[in-house]
Amino acid sequence: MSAQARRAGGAATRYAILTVVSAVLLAPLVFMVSIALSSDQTTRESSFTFLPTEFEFGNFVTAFTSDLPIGRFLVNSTVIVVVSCIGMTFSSALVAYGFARLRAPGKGLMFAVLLSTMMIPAEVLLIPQFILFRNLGWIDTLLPIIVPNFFANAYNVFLMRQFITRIPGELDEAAMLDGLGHFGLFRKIIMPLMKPILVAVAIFTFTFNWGYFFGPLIYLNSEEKMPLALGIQVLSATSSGAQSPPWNLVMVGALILILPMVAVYHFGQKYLYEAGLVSGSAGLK
Amino acid sequence: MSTEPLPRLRRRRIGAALLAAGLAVAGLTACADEEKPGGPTSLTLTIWGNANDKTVMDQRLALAKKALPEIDVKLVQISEEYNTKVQTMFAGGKAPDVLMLSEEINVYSSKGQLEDLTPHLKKANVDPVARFGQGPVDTYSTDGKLWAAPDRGGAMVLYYNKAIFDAQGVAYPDGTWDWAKFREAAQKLTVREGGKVKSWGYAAGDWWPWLLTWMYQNGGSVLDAAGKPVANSPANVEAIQFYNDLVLKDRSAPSPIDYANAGLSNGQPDALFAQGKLAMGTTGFWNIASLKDSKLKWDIAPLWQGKQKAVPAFGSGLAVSSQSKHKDAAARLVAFLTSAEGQAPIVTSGLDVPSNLEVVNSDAFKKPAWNTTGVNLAAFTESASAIYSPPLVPEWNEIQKAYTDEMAPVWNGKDSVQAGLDRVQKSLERILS
Amino acid sequence: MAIVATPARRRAGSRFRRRETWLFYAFVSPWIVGFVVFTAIPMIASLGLSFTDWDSFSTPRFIGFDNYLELFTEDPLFWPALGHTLYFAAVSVPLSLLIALFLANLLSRPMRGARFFRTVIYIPALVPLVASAMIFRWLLAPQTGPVNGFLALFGIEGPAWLLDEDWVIPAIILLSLWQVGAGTILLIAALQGVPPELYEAARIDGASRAQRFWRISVPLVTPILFFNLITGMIAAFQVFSQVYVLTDGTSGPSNASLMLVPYVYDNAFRYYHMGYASALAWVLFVIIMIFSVGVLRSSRGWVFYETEVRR
Repeated sequence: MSAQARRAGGAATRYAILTVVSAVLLAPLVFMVSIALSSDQTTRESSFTFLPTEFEFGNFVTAFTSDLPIGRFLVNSTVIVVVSCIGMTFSSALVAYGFARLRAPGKGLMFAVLLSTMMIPAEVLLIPQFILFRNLGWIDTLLPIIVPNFFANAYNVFLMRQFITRIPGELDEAAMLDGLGHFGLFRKIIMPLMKPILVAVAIFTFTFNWGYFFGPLIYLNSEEKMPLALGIQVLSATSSGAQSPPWNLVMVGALILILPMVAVYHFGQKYLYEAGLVSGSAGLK
Repeated sequence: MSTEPLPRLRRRRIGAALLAAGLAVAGLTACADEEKPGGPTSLTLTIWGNANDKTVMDQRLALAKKALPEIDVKLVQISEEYNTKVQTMFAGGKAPDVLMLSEEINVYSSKGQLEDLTPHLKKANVDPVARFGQGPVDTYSTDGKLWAAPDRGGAMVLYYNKAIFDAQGVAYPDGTWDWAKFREAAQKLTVREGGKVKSWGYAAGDWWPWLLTWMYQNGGSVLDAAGKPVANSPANVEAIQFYNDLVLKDRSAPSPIDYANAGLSNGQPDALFAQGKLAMGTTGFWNIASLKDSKLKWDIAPLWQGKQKAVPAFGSGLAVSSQSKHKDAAARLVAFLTSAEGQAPIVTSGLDVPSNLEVVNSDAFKKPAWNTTGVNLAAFTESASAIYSPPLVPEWNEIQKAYTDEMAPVWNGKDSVQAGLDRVQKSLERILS
Repeated sequence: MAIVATPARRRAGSRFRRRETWLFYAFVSPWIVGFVVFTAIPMIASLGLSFTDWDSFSTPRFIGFDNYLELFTEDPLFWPALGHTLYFAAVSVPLSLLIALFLANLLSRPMRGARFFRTVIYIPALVPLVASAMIFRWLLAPQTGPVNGFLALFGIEGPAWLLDEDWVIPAIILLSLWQVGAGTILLIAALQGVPPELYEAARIDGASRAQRFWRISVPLVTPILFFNLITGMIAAFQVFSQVYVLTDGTSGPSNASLMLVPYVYDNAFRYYHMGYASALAWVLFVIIMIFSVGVLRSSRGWVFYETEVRR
């Protein structure tokens, strides 16, 4: 009884804390929506209010009725994101398995090199990379944005390696006794157990590529090849440094951009959380 | 002309070749960018700006296509990080043939990246000074070489709110005011309520066109004739002190904190003006479009003057890259885009002040169809002769950064103008050494 | 099984080893190929450029260690930039880790509306920085901003935040904490994987809620905490966009928020000192490397693996 009451009290406290935290985190978003719904006049005056007082839904229509090929941008973004997700999850899983379960001379060094690729500021690699992609003839194509995703990246390999090491080794031995090789073990035993982490990496890859505009900015010239994150910027840009951007359209762009990401996370989290990351815990009993 | 750019060009090529060789060593095959023989010449043009800027450029390119059918132009609109992208294109050997440039002009010209337009314009029978005026030509020239054809943007002018002037009983500005009269007007035009400022007399900030105007009007400058920094010269100290007194002593102009309290970054007079909380602000043509539908009663006038006349201008030019394989066609395109015909859409759309004087002086510009409220557009024409050329040296961005960083405590009243400018001077000496 | 390996067995063992080595390289080959093609060459190029004076247009001029010498002895901004970066990392990394762990703990237990709260907490991390920076400028306005308005309720006079040399970095930290949601995702998933039997057993043994959290939950998610710590630290050392957009690329009043990567970016793309920028980047690389090795070393003491990385 008292334990139950304590638990109920705990739940109430938990809701209270989460409600406060959510309110704090959402407050800036409310302001974002308020700005997105502001009239051009209010925007010029920069006299925004925290809660919406105007409801210029036309701002959202503007984005779609402009000369901009928004539909084309969406298609490009979708192509980039879907192909990248597939490439990134599979390549990273393979590489992570190698680092987690196999031994070889030079492995320690390899892992150090892998992690070190995260440590160099990407800004100084930009021009050499541009020259590289130019020599490959990839400028003004989606290839510089998509192809690297098929070769894993340090962040995801590291994350997946952390996960695979949590899977009890007894499974391996059992599988080996059943005559499965490492590829069979990987495909039949480890991959299915990795489902939540594959979903996590897919979500990260999705959100990163969906919102990423710097790479497309540098490598793409043709409007019809641009992803949404880059393409809609022209709506909120200024023609000289002295002007302030049309904030209502900046926020409209931001909202259009984040909505799909929110939806993917909201509905994708089911797969991420249903099993939990220590799925091998069955072996702990 | 013919001897100078060539060695530079070769050096740059060697640089790119070195890097490319490094990459090729690793087994990467180089694909040359081949131009299809025959057919129209294909040129790339990069511009910054928003959807409007793009629409107007598209209109101008459509006219160009009629006049120059042998040239195809691919327009690349770069809304964000223009400089970074263009720099990368140049460094990567994929430079655009024609590019919009402003403050970075001599970053490119000093490194041999641009084609001197003088002989090309001569061939097309265009006299740059007659077409654009001396000031703009100087802005884009070094050592008698013209690195870009001025394209957009003219003088900045004084926007004023008639209602506040009327209410405070101040006569409208007309370009004849001196500093004392300006200061007095700014004080009178500042409206307070319960000790708090309700609307400001004047507003600016630390953007260079504003700061340099004070200095130039007072006979000062950032660099002397030999290119040595003179940031803390007595004329400059006096000029900046005058502005800072408006802000901190008279409280007739907003400080960075006042801007922040209005939810604005430092130096955004346009928004204050649109709110009706500003009597006078120095801004460019671009602000007209945002005020056209406003309920405010406003107009524009030429700037006041100091010991001498000096008016800031902010605009852009069109340059031809020395990497271009079609410099001749590129220069012809530039010549057309800056002709009266090529600039017409800038005027009809009300986008900006065109650089072509013939157009600026035409009724098409001074009395355009969209000017239904009778804005005194002649203020731009009248100011043209007083435009000063800022020292757009290759280190220009670093110079600006030095001002921003070292003067910040001055704007907040934590430090004296003299001390701030002394620090700027020290920084500039280091940057330019 | 024989305790002493016979020569034949050893041969078989080494054959097995060779096969495993071959397999290892087969599994990691996607990364190796990608690394060699897309990353290694640009990295070597930038290392090479760090020994040159290069404006990114003309021919690079070899100047030996001059860039590095200038950076350590002459540049008045390098040491402050390093100091600010360390300050930012030292405060933001542990704080984000703790807050993420706290929130993940609340959100990992089954409850009505859990999905909603998890989504809400993740949203700020998805907002493009241009948009969030504008909002934060408004929230943090000295006298009129809601944050200082809130502080005023308690009689506290809030600082000028982005305009105050002492408060601009805390303001940037606030923005990064707002985006803490990304770090909670993995922790929620990890916490959910902790077998409920363990909690039940501990409860029967009379362990309090706090004890269960620190003695069971935390040790079992240390691999993810470790991952968040390393990647969070690397990201903090490379903080760029938050600083750049929040302070309009001007690095705050009197350079008070100048940090290393924005400084690298300015040198590379605003001042056209690509060689110097490369040198700065490599110095930062070494600094991050040193800190990472430190954390990796320490991890042996506190990260709990069910199956340690084999041999």
